[in-house]
Formats: sequence, C-alpha cells, structure tokens
Amino acid sequence: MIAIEGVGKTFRRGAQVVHALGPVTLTVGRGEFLSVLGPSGCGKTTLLHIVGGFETPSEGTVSVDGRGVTGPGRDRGMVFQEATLMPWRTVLANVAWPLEVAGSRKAQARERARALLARVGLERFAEAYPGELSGGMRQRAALARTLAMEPSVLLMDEPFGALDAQTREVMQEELTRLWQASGLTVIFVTHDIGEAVFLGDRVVVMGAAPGQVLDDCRIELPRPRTAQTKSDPRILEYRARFWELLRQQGARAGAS
Amino acid sequence: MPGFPMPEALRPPWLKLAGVALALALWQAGAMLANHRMVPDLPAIGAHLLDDLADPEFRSHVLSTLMHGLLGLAIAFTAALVAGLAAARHWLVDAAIHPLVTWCYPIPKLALYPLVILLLGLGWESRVAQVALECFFPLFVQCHAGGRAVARRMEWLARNAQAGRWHRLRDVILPSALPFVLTGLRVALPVMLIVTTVTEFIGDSQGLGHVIVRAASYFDTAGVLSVAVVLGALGFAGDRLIVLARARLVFWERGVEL
Amino acid sequence: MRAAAPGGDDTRPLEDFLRAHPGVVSLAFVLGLLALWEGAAAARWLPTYILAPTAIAREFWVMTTDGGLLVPAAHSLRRALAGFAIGGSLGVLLGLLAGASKPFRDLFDLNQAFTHPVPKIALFPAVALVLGFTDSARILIISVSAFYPAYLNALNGALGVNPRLFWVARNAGASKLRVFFQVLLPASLPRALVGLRISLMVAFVLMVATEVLGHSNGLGAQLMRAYREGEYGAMYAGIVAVAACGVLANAALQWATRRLLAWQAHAGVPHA
Repeated sequence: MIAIEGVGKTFRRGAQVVHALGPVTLTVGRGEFLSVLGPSGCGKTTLLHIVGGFETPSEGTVSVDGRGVTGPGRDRGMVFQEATLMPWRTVLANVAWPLEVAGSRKAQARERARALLARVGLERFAEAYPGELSGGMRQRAALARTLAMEPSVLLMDEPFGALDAQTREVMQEELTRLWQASGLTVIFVTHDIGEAVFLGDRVVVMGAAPGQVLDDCRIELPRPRTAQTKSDPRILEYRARFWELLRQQGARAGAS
Repeated sequence: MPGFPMPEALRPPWLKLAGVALALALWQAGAMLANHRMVPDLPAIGAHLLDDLADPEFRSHVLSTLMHGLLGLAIAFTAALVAGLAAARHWLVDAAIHPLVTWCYPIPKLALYPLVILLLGLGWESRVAQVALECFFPLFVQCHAGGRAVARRMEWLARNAQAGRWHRLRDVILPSALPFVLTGLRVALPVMLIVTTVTEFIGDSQGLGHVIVRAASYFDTAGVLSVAVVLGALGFAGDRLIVLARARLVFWERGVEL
Repeated sequence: MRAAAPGGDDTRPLEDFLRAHPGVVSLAFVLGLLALWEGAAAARWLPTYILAPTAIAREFWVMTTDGGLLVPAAHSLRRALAGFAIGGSLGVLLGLLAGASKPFRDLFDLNQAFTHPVPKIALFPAVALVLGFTDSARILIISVSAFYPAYLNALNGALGVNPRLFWVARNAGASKLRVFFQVLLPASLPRALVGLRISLMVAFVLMVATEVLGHSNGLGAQLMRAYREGEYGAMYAGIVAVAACGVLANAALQWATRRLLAWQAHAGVPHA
C-alpha cells in the first residue's frame, strides 16, 4: 500500500553536505504494523516525515495506494513524540478540531470527538486542558485527535519516548489493542527493541550514517498481542538478533 | 509557520534593504505630494543633519544629553542592583519593596517631574534625578529576576565548598544575574533617551531636547527630524553595544535572543 | 533554607506569619513611610511645596468631586486609550503577520530596527508643526509609540510557537487563514499580551509627555499649570489622578489578560 522507492535525503549545513538518509526502498502492506527500529540519527524520523509529506526527499519517491506523496494530508496522520496539543483548548476541543476543519458543525464534531476519546479511555477528561494531563494521557489525546482525521495510515514518531517505563508498557498494550480493531496501516518509529518487536508485524532495522535498511524481519508472534506475549521466549531471540545489529552500529559510530 | 516560498534571488538582505528603500521612497513621495512648508523632503533633512553634525554647538548639546542621561542611568543601575539583589535574596526586603515597585510601575513618573524640579531646581540635577527615577523600575525588575535566577544547585555547590559570602556573591550570584542585568540595561536605555529628551523640552537650555524645541519655535521641521535621527542613532548604537557586551560577558549563553 | 533552632523547638511565629502573608509586610512598610511623611509635615520639617499625605488626599477628594479632575482626566484618557488601541492592535496584527511570513518580516525588519530607538516624543514638535497641538497630533505620537512593544512581542510570540503545532494543522488540511486565527494567534497571545501591557504603559507616559508642550485640556497640562502658578494642592491632586489612571488601566488589562489566558491557570495541576 505504501511504496518507498529509493528515498534519500541530503541537506546542506553551511559548507558541509550531510547525507542523512538513503537510499531506502521499502513497501508496507495494507493494514500492516511496521516497526522501524534504529539508533538516534539514523534518519528514521526523516523517513517518517517524508512519508508524511512534511519533508521532501532529495531523491526517490513515496506513493500511497499508487498516488505520489507531494505534501501532508489527512490520509496520513502523524503522532509526534511530544503530544503537540493546543494548550488553549480543552481535550475535547482539540480532538474535535480536525473534524471542524473538515467542515463538520461544532456540535457534530464534539459528538464524534467524544466517541474517539472513549476509544482511548479519556472520556472523563474531555473538559480538561492539556496542561492538566499527564504525559501518557496527553499522548492518548493526541492519538484520538489524529484518528479524528480518519487517516488510512498512522505515522508514529517515538510517541512513547517521553513517558516513564510503566506508562510506556500500558500505552503499548493499548495501542496494539486499538490497532487490532481499526485495520489501519501503521509505521511506528522507535529506538526501543522490545517495543518494536511487541508491536510490529514486521521490524525494519535502520543503521546510521547514512541511514539505510540493515534488516527486514517478519515477527512470528501470535496476534492479538497482550501482556502474556511479553513472556514468549521467541521475543528473546528477536531481541538478541536486533541488539547485535544495533551494537555493531554503535561500535561503528563510536569508531568514526 | 512555513512561509510563502521565496525565489532565491529575493533572499535577504535584499528584501531588508528593499524595505528601507521602500520606506524612504514613500516619505519622499509623501513630502513632494504634500508640498507643505512644514514637511521637509529627504534631501532637506539630510542636509540639515550634516550641518548639525559639523556644528560644535550641536555636538556640545549631544554631549550634554549623553552625559546627563548616562549619569541618571548609572544612579538607577546602582540603586536597582543593590535593591534588586537584596530583595531577591531576603524575603523581608522583598516583601517590603517589591509590591511597591510593582504598583508604582504603571504610574507615569513624568507626572512627578514638577515635584522633582521643586526639589532640585530647573537645572541638570532634576533632569538626572528624573532619568534615574524612571530607569530604576525596569532595572529593578531585571536585577530582581537575576538575583532569583541563580540555580539552586549552584548555590548548594558554593556552600558545599565553604565559599564565603563575598565569594558567593562574586562567583555565583553576579555571573548568574548578569544576563538579566544586561537585558535590564537594554530596556532602560530607550527610557533614558525619552526622559532626557522630554525633560530638556523644559528647564535650562541644554541638550538635544532643547535643540528640538528651539527648532520647532523657528518652524524648522527638518531641524527637529535631524535631532530625531541623531537620537535614534544614539539609541541604536547603545543597544548594539549592550548586545555585544552581553555576547562577550555572558559567553556561555551562545545564540540566546534577549 | 533555615536550620531548626538549637533546642529542637522550631517556632518563630512572627516570621512564619509574615512569610505566609507578605502583603502585611508591604502594607506595614508603606504605612510606615506615610506615617513618617505625615509626621515630618506636622513638625514643619518639610518645605512649603511638599504637602502632607492627608492634605493631598483631601485636595484630591475635593477636586474629584467638583469635576476639576474628572474633565481633564477624561480628555487625557481618551487620547491615551485611543493611541493604545490603534498602536497596540496594529502592532499585534503586523507582528503576527511578520512572524508568519519571512518576506513580510524582512521588509519591516530594518525599518523597525532604525525607527525603534528614536524617542517618538522627539517627533512630537515636528508633527505639531504640521497638525498643530491637536488631539490628532497627540494621538498619532501615542499610537506610534505604542506600536513598537506590541509589534516586537507579537512577533517574538509568533516566532516562538512550537512548529509542530503548524505541522498538525497542515496534517489536518487546515487553510492558511484558519491556521493564522486558530493556531498562530492563540499560541502567540500570551507574549502579545505582555507586549500590550508595555504598550499601555508607554501610551500613558506619552500621554503626559505630549501635554508638556502646547496648550492642552488634559491632566498633564493642568498639572504643569498648577506647578507654574504655585497651586501645589492642585499639582499633587493632578499627580495622584495621573497615577490612578495608569494603575487602573493596567489593572483592567491584567484582568482582561487573566480572562483571555484562563487556560493557563489550569496548567501544572496534573491528573494521574
């Protein structure tokens, strides 16, 4: 459904030319949950931004359902590491906003926003302001807001990176449950191996300098994934495999 | 916000210079259209400015304005530094002074000028006092913030190392407060120029404010505008100096906008 | 902070009370100063032109009730607020536009940098030569002065907006107009309001400054007249009136700011 063909990104910093990414060739199937795993600076976020249409590639193309990506659109909803909610609006108003942008009347939009909040378990906090919520709750609200755009693709940029370990675990389980019921295609970027394996149908490992694909591996763990899945012994094998790859990357980066 | 796409050819500084050129052109056009005796065009203003700068009497007025203004600023600065730091460090002083300063801030202190004249006469003393009075407030606010800004950890570190009061002040408090103090100077400088100018409208015949009023009495608009340009240049130069000083003195905070 | 007193009993009730109620200290300090002043006046230590606080209060009350202050105050306030409204709103609008669009900002940039340091009061005599010592001349100077703090702060507010917020807006397909009014404006508002607060103060300073020259029906002019004629009571009453106007206007703006930024009050009290 998503075809990434030879995508690369170089940019100029003063006199220097930095080859940040690529070329990367990748496909993502409809309804697939793809985890993109890699260390910081490997260009995985840049790749996500390119698919989202927020950055333009220096080479290569991205197409979604056969149509080339030229800019941002409601079909590809982004969720950032920082929740990026509008602090002057209540949670409900934040989630309702994309619906209003699309032309819904205020009352209708609020109705549908309430339903979305229920899906992420925040219906009790509809009238709260983002400043009153914890990190995990804000991310749930941000997710609800992105879902309000009715995207076919969800692009998630380390959304749980800023949360504490316990909240992260809870959010991972909630996300996989939500995704299971939705049928969305997801590209999920992270540097956390456990997270990538737990959530993904497939894990793509990216290396740095320049960012390119090192491994592309199907995750043969049963669906739906639950807290029980975390004790599945096969997780350790996947972890070992990816950890070795990433360690080599780290050693190369340290030596350079 | 991602701006409108700009073709490379129009990248700054061309656009910035174009902006100035546009403004000057508008003035010139306006002056020529108005054809009013009192609205001088750019060449007239420019010529008057050159004459003024060559005139030793004019230069002595510039010096007078600068000296009195800077003296008032220095007094305000000293008072604000002492009061601000004291208030920042001692809750009792803070409780007594700070609300008073906050309440008096929105009061236009210029209204007190007649009182100052009564106390100090019509000469330069009252002018310096008025400048000091008005510049004190923004400087106090900034010095207070600076005194408060010292990171807790740094203070503990200093006490851990058994640093005495004097050392703490010199090595921890003052450097931490420095960026704020410099910001305060940056805010107080235009205040100094405004107050000096207005107080020179009345009172003894010294300073650029006096030159303005004299020019106005001769219906010499170009003369007034020439002084305005000089005042603007002084303010601009002073501002740049403070920014430069900040960059050098607060070298650990690169690239922070004031 | 402070160590427990030796002996284990950590009670300093007066200090604790005062720390918890700093307003009391402030009030006591001010009242103390006023008492000293009153005392000095009663003991005839002060020169004739310094009146006692009670005398000033009495004069102020008399002049307020007989309209001697309210009429000129109305004129001065009208000019100050008009100048503030014009300069402040233009400043915020252009500041936001400049924050949103680099080309726009660049066009304004050097003009703003060169004209900002000029004390606008220096231009007043020139403007008065063309327009006379009229309301329009004064309001013009006040507006121009009030423009700059509003412009600069709105601009910096707009530049400081989290760029991800704009990305979210683009993601949702919002139009440029919608982004300006529903994202840029509210996000820049806190900083813009700080700028407006400074604009208001500047407007009041210029209100008085423009009444120093030429004939005027305002408080500042009346104040100067009273000084020149040795009517010290009226002079002090005028000073108090000007002060009151400044303080009240500022308080009104603070109140409006609190209402507009009500959402900020909710921050920092996180639910689990």
